[in-house]
This record gives sequence, structure tokens and C-alpha cells, in this order.
Amino acid sequence: MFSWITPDLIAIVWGMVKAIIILLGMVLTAAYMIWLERRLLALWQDRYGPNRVGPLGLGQVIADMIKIFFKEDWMPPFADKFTFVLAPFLAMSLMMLAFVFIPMTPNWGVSNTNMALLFFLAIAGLAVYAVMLGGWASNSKYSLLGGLRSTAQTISYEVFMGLALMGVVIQAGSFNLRDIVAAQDGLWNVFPQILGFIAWVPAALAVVHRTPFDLPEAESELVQGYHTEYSGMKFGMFMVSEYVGIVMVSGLTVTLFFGGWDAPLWFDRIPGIGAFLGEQIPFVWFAAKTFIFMAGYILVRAALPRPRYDQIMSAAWLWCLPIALINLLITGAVVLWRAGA
Amino acid sequence: MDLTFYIAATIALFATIMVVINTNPVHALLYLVLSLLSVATVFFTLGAHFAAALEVIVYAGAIMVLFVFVVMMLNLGAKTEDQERRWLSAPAMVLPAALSAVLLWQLGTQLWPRGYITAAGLQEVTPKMVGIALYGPYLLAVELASMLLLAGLVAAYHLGRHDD
Amino acid sequence: MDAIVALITRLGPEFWSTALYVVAVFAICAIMLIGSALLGGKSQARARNEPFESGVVSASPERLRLSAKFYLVAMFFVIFDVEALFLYAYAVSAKEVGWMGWIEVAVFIFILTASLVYLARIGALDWTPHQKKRRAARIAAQAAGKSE
Repeated sequence: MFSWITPDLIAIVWGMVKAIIILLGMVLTAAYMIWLERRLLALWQDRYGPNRVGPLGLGQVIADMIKIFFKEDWMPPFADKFTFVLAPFLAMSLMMLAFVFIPMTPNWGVSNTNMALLFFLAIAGLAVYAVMLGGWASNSKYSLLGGLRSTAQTISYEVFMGLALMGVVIQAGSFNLRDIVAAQDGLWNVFPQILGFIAWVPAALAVVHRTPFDLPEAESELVQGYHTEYSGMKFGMFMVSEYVGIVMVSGLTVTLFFGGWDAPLWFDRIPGIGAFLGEQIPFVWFAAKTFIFMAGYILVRAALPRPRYDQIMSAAWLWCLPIALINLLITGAVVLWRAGA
Repeated sequence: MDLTFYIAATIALFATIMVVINTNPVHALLYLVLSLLSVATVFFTLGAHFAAALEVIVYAGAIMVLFVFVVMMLNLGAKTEDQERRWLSAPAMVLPAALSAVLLWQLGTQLWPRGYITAAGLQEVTPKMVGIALYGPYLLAVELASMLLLAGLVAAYHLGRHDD
Repeated sequence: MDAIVALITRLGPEFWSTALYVVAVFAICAIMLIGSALLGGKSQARARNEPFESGVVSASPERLRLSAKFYLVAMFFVIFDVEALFLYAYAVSAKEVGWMGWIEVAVFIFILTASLVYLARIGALDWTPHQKKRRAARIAAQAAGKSE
């Protein structure tokens, strides 16, 4: 009766279940990132933050979500209807889609394509449309100004984002993220690729529009930038997409520069428990490292003021781009020299 | 993969027609983005993965961004939509349609009888193969491309500069 | 049944899990948009349907004049993005193309840097507003005048 259940079919179903678990886990992490940010910012600013709903205020996220679902879904009569809805949809879905490539453990991770890094860059390139279309469709002055400004900034940081990662690609000889993790066995990329990492950090902050690169939403001058006219769930999607982006970029940073699920330091050489630490709990290492970068995003927001627009633009073109290019040249030379070619 | 190819090709054709007949500049450009994305899918099904990624990164992610950006800056509103509607008359479409038909016929006669039309995805072209070809036999072409881009950069600045 | 299973298993688990992931992402976003559209309340007020403006009656954005700098930066982005793609192709095959390829990339990057230096020198990448520069020049001139 069940003869049609072959091992292949079971593998497919299990793979699909894993994909759903990964997606929901990522979305939940992003949602709780909001709680974490509010609590951590409050801690650093000497106040409490949300602490009433549930233990430690953990229920705040659920309460906020229920509330935002019942908010009026206001469509401005002066807006371009279709594009106005498309913009938050793009913002959210593209950030979630990029997570598909990130390998979490040797067995967990949805896609294992050889083009992963290029596809990530393509998705990051398309994400500009969310900001642009949001600003244009609102048909309001502040939105348009915010959208233009934000687009100019995002594309300036996109120029060197890919180049900053090419040193990593040279070392691994592949765009496949699993190959890149495998190539870091023994020495994490952050050490040989320190210049690339220095250029990658501002790009990683800018790609999710976080402080100090949140000029698109500079509330003191542009109200709320490109999402001035957005409210209710559509605004919520822009906001959540930022947190989804943080989780995704943190995971990518760990994969590219910090060895993925590899155990840090010499934990795997500790006699007795070394084998357990090194082999048995890859997800714990991946999650712990990703968490450090997520908290780093919050720390940056708490610590740094917002620079001027011209400073941001010249930093991208005159500092980060040359650093990324130099890193590419040096890495190429060193890899060839060590290969003895 | 055959089915993906035909679906993507149909979407590309539909989107491109919409680019021509749509009167709102931003909507037309969005259809063009859709068209480029489906062409990227076609490349992917043909085994040219690197070309597919480039199509998305350069065309959809950079050139179309420039187009939409300029349309945003010029703020082409309701006025241009009326103008566009007037321009999209049947007589105005005759010559371009005839020209496209001639081009299509030329392509068809060039390709069809010699049997160049083969099944999709015969050979997968990896990014590594592209790199080896570019920095091996086509070294000089890369060099020329960099010169061309340099010239483009200088020209872009001096054409777009505003004197004040 | 067996035929269907054969058809499904032909594509392997990675294809199906990726496809499901992509579909689920779009479904989640659609649920968020549709759900809030159905559940949200509706209200009316006098100034409800006006664009946001800090108290003053709204001016249409159609007459907004914008700096040509924005166009320029988008143009530079397109050109540098194309140059970056050549470098992506190099990065993945760096070990295979050897020193010859490296020298070519070095020349390529040199030309790229030359154009960057040129743009920086003629002020194409300078976003400082003109008023600010004029004020800075005036202050500098005043300081020079006083010291004499």
C-alpha cells in the first residue's frame, strides 16, 4: 500500500520540512531581534524597555504584531496604488529570500548552489527597488527626497560590497558558501581578509539601512524618508525587513569571515570534550556567532551618531572602494605566491 | 527545465509588450525589469548560470535602477501619461513593427535551415570557465573594456555636470 | 502514483526545499498584506487624505528641482558595477589563470583607480553643499585678513 514511499521521497519531504523550519526560525529570530534591540538599548541608556508583557517582556513582540494587524491599512489616495503595495512586499521578501543560501550546519541549509554569493549580490541589488518605489509611489515630497537620497546611498555602498567579498572568493575559488566555509578550516577568513572585512562592515550596515547609515529615515530632516506615507502593516513590513536583513547579513558575515559552524579557537582540541564541542554542536556555534553580530548592530546603533550625507558618500567612494580593490590585488598575489605558480 | 524555459520565455514576451504599450513610465520600467528577470531565468535554464546572475546584477540591479532613478528625479507625472497615450497611436506603430518583423525574419533564415537550433542546457558554463576564458584568450578584450569604461565614466561626468 | 513519485524525485530534495522556501516567503508576505487589509479598521477625518507636510498646505512634488549629483552617482554606479563584474569573474578563477591573469587584473584595477582619482580630483564625488564650502572659504579669508 505504501510501496510508493521511496527513500528519495522521504528525503524530499524531510528537506521541505527543514526549509520551513529554517524560514520560520529566521522570521522568529528577526521578530525577537526587535525585543532584543529595545531591551539592550534600554539597558545601555539606563532604563527598562518593554518588560510588562510576559516574562522579561518577551510577549511584547506578539502583542505588537496583533496590534499592527488590526491597524488601518491606509492607502493614500494620491499614491500609485500598485507600486505602493509592491514596495514593502519587495523589501520583506527579498531579505527573506537571501537567507536561502546560508548554510547553518553541515546538514542544515536550504540551497547549496554554486552561485550563492552572486545570487546574494543580485538580491541585494534588487532590494534597492523597495526603497525607490516606496519613495516614488507615495507621491509626497519627503518620501521622494528620502527615496532618492537612500537610493544614492545604497547604490554607492553596493559598488564595493561585492568587491569586498572577492578576496574570500579567491581563497575558496568558488561562490558556493559551503566551499567557503570548508576553505576556512583552521584559519578564519577574518584574519587573512582583514581589509576585506573592514570594507564589508560598512556595506553590511548600509545594505539594511541601519545606523549610522539610516539617512534615508533621518527623522530630524526628512520626517521618515521613503516610508513617510506608510502606516499599519505596510510600514511594519519595512521595519521587519530591516530586522530580517540583520539576521541574514549577520549569518552571511559568520559564513564568509568567521568560519560558519566551525568551533572557535581551539575548543575542538580540548581533551575529553573536544570532539563533542568540535563536531556535535555546529548549530550552537553558528547561532552564537550570528548572535554576536546581531548584538553588534544594536551596539553600533546605541554608540554612533549619524554622520553627514556628504561624509557618508565620500567614505564609500574614496575609502571603502579603494580598500576593497587593494584587498583583491593582495589576496590574488598571496594566493598565487603560496600556490607556487 | 524545459517547462521553466517556456514559462520564462512567455513571461518575457508578455512583459516586453507591456513595456511598449504601458503609458506610465515607472510601470513600463517595472515591466522591463520583469522582462529582464525572465530573460535571466531563460539563461539559467540554458546552463549559462554566470550570464543569468550578470543579467540580474547589471541590467535589473544597475541599469534599470538608473532608469527608474532618472524618471523619479524628473518627476514624470500625469502630463507625460497623456502625451504617451497620444504618441502610442496605430500609425506610429507600423514602422517599428515592420522593422522588427524584418529583423525576426533575418534571424530566422540565418538560424533555421542550418540546424543551429539545439536543445537547451547542453553544456553548463560555470563562472570559473568564464573567468578562465576572460583572463586567458580574451585578455586584451578585458583591457579594452576597462578603457571603454574609463571613457564612459569621464563622458558621463562631463555630460551630466551642471555649471554653477 | 509511482509515476508521480518518479516525476517528483527526479529533481532531488534541494530543488523542492528551495522551491518551497521561495513559495513560503511570498506566501508570508502576501498573508501579512492581505491579513492587515482585511482586519484593519477604517476611519475618516477632515485632513486624513492629505500627504504629510509639517503643518503647511502640501506642495506638489512635481515641481521639485533636484541636484544633478543624484543622476551622476547612479551613472558611476552602473559603470563601476560593470567593472566589478569583471573582477568577480577573476576572483573565482584566480588560481587557474595564474600570474598572467593577475597582471591583467592589476592593470585593470590601476585604470579603475585612475578613473576614481580623476573623479575625486575634479570634485565629482564631493557632496559637500556649495554654501558650506563658500562659508568655509569666507571664514578662512577672514582669518587670513586678521592675521595680517
